[in-house]
Amino acid sequence: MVQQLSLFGQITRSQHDITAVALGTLTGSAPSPFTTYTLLASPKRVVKYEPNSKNAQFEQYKLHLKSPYDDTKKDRSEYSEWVLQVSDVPSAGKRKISTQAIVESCILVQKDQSIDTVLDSIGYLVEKEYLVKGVRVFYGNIVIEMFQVLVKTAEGEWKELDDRAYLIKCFINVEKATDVENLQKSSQELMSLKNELTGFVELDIPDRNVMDSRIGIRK
Amino acid sequence: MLRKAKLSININPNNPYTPTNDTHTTKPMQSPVENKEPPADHSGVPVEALEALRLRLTQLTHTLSKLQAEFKNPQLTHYVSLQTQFNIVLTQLASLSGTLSEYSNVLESTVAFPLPQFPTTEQEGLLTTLLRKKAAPEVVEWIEESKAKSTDILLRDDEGLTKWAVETMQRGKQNHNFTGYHTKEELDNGALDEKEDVKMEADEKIRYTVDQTLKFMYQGDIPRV
Repeated sequence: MVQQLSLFGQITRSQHDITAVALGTLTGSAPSPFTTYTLLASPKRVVKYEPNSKNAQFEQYKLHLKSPYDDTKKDRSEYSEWVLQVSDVPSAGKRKISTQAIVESCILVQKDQSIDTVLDSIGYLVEKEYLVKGVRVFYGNIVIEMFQVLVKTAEGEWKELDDRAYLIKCFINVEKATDVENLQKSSQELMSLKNELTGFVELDIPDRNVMDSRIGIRK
Repeated sequence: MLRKAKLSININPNNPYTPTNDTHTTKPMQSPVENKEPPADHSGVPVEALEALRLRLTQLTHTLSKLQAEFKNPQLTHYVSLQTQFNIVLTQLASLSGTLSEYSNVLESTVAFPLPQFPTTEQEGLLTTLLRKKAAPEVVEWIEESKAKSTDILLRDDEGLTKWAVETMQRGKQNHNFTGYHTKEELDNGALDEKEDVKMEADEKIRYTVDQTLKFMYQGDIPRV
């Protein structure tokens, strides 16, 4: 389980080119493009929440499945390698950096199966799919991603959810939640990046509830 | 005396407090018309320790002078009364030494002027002049006089200076290109590769905020606009 420390920001489309140049200058490396195909899967059966029962301790999560996007493949059944990711709700409390626990695992789909059958066998169903398309640069220990989210239209084309904006995510993964020293160091590194980019991109901590992938049994 | 001495006390010898520097850094744009005293920097003065000491010393001097007066009295006071007063002196001395040791850390690193070697009695006139907080009357006069003079001169100079600055700026503006990614020279020569230029488009309103986009990524809810 890794702890992901992150900060988010947003820029308008017109700022995209200049930001890419600026990030390249800042980090000294050319931004590398990436496109991630992401599936969001929910459990087929949602356990009803009853207070004071054993279910009260029971949490169900939505699963993320990620794979590098390949435009030669038609749909998700042609992808065989996936990264399964489950993320906890980010830590509460007065914070300057979002801290979220994430577990990941690899899934290799067998030839006669597809990702849907694998998910079906563990009781999950693909709910949404989207692409995360953008560029990535590395700055010290920080990974800076500037991306857009693309969703499939009724015609089967990928279209930006919001073509007027780009999201900027700066994050550092720390292996252990108990590694206080590295957590502190990483927080400082992110804060100094935030200061460095002030006036250019305003990095901030998002509302922790929006990064909550738990099923809304209590909502 | 002690209270007056505060202004010239400095506990950090590496960073001596210099009032002239201070005015320059805090108020660089101070106009000559504005008649404000530069704010004295009291941060280096151990006010608490000094106040405590002052209180103890005042009490002690008070008691001692009272005792002295009693001795001068032609009819000697009863020994019980003298002893009581003596006891008070002792208590106050103990309290003083307690205070001294309590603030010893601060006081050891504090340098108070004048130093104990200073011939206080002989040079009292000089000492009081040096420890004055306000400027001497004749100095105040000089200040006022020079202020009255300088106001006019500066204002007149200022007009010329502003004019000069505007002209220089306009000249500079013509010679250089302050927007975009190319110099004036490059633009004038016309040898420009359009592809290299980073263009800015007009902005439209962002549809989804960071939170809304993240909500979609984590929960699959398409945010409503």
